Amino acid sequence: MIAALLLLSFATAGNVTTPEQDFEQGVSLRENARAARESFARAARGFDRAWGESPSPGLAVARGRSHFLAGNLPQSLAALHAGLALAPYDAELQADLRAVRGTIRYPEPADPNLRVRPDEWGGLRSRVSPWDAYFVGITFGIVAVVGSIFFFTTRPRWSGVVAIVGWVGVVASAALAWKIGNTEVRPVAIVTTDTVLRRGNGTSFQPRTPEPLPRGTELWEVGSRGGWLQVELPGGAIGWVPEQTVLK
Amino acid sequence: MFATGNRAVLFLLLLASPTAAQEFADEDAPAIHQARPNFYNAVGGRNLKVTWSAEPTTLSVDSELTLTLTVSGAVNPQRVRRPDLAAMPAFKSRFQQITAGTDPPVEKTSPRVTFTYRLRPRDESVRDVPELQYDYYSTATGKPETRYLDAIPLQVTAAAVVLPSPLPLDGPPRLFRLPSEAALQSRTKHDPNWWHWRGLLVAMILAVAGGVAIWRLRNPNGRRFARVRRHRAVRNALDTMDRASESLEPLALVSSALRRYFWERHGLPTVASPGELETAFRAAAIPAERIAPAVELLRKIDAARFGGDSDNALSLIALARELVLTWEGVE
Repeated sequence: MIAALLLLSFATAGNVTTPEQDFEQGVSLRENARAARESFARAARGFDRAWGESPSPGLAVARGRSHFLAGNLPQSLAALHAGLALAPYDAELQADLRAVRGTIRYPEPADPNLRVRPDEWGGLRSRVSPWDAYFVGITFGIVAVVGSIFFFTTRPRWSGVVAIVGWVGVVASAALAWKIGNTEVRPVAIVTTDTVLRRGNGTSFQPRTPEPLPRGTELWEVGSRGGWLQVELPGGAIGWVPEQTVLK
Repeated sequence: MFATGNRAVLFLLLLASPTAAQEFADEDAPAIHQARPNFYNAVGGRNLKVTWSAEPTTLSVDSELTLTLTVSGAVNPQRVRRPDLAAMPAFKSRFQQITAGTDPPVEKTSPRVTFTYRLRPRDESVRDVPELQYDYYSTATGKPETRYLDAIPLQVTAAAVVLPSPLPLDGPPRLFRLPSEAALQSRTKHDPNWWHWRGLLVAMILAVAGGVAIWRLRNPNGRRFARVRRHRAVRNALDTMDRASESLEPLALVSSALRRYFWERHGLPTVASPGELETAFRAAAIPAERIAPAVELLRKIDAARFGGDSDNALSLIALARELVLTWEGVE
C-alpha cells in the first residue's frame, strides 16, 4: 500500500511542470490554438502563484503574456496594470500593455467625452524611477562635493558655481523622487464581457454610449452602489456598469 | 432437358401470362419455382456453387464494407438475378445503406456471376452479415435446391472523431516570448526612501569635510592660504599673476595686478611711480621691511617692462606672487 502511494507520488511529481515549461509548450503548440491555450492557462496559473508569493515586474510581464495567450484578455490587462503599479517605469510592461490594447477593437464615438480608447501610458512617473532620481542625485552630490572642496580650499573661480549646481541638483533630484513616489494611481476596472455603460445604476437607465463597451475596456472606478460600479471613461464621461462585468 | 410434366406446367403458365412468357427463356427454371422468395433464377447442376465474402470485416460505423456474392457453375449466368438484400429484414436491421455495386456484364458462357454490394452498418452493435438462403434449380435433381451462405462476423467500431482542423494561435509576436530568467527571478527593489536621501546628504557633508581636511594636512599653509584667497583683492591679484605668463605683455599685467592689490588692500593710488608709492606706503604706516622689497620689485618690473628686457619676466611674476603672499603673512 505504502509502496503504491510512493509510486503514485513519484508519478505525480514527474508530471509537475514549471510555468516556464508550460509557456514554452504553449509556444510549441502555437499552430493548434486550443491546445496552446491550455498550456498558456497552466503557465498563467503558475505565474499567478509566484506573483502572490513575491511580485516583480518580470513576473507581471510573464503573467500578462500568459493570460493573454490563454485567451483571458481582462486578466492579462489586470496583471499588466498590477505590474505597472509596482514599476510604472518598466518599458517591457508598457510595451506589452500597448500590444494587448492593440488587439481590442475600441469604438470610436464622435463625442470625445465618450472616448473608450485609453490614453497612452505616460507621465513623469512612467519614465523615471525613484532609483533613477536617486542615482542622478548621487551624481549631483559628487559634483557638489568637488565644487565645495575646491571652494573651501583653493577657491578657483568655477568652484562656487559648480558647488551651487551640485547642491541644487541634489535638492531637485530629491524633489523629483518625492513627486514620483507621491503620484496618485487611480484604481482600474477592466470590462470582462461586452457590456452597456448606462446613465444610472440599473438596466432601466438609458445607455451612456452608442455602442457597448468592448471586453478589455479599462475604466477608472469612481464609486459603487447596489451591485453597480460607477466608472469614468478615458474620455471623461461617467456611467454605470454591473459589478459582475468588470474585473477590479 | 426438363421433365415432360414440368414442360406442360410451363406451357400452361405461358398461356395464362403472355407478359411472363417474354421474361422466361429456355434455360430458366420452371416458372413454378420462380415465385420462391429466395430464388434468383440460378439453374445449374451439382457443380453450382454460391459463395460470398466481405471486405473489410473490421470497420467503423461511418464506413462501408463490400460484400461480394459469387454464383459459379450456373448454366444460365446471364439470367441469374441479383438478390435484393435491401429488401431483406435481416439486412435492413443491420445496415443503414445497402447499395448495389456496378458489376461487369456477364457473358453467356461465363463460369461465374458476381454481385457486389456496399453495406454501411447502422451502429456499433452490428456483429455480422446475416446468413443468406440461396435457392436454385438443380438440373441434376430436377427440383429446387437450397444453399445457405454462412453469416460473416463483423467488428464495427465507433465512428472516427473528426476534429476540426486546428487554428493557429494569433497575437502580437512579442507576447510569445518569456522574460529572461534573470527578470523572472529578480525581486522588487524597494524604492529609495528618505533615509537614502539623508544618507546621501550626510555622505556629502562628510566628503566635503574630509576633502578639506586632507587638503589642509597635505598643505600646512593651506589654511592661511585659503583664508588669504578668500579676500577678493588677493584672489584677483594671484589669479591675474597666474594668467600673466600666457599674456603678450606679462609684466604690464603683473604691474597692474600689484598696483590694484595695493589700492584694494591699503588704499594706495593705482597710477603712481615706484617712488610715489614708497611715499604712500610710509604715509599708510606700512612697516619699512615690507616697503623696500615692494618698491624694489616695482622698479625691476618697470625697468624690464620699459627696457625691453622680458627674459626674466617669469622670475618677476614669481617674485610678485611671493610678495603678495608675504604681505598677507603666508610663508
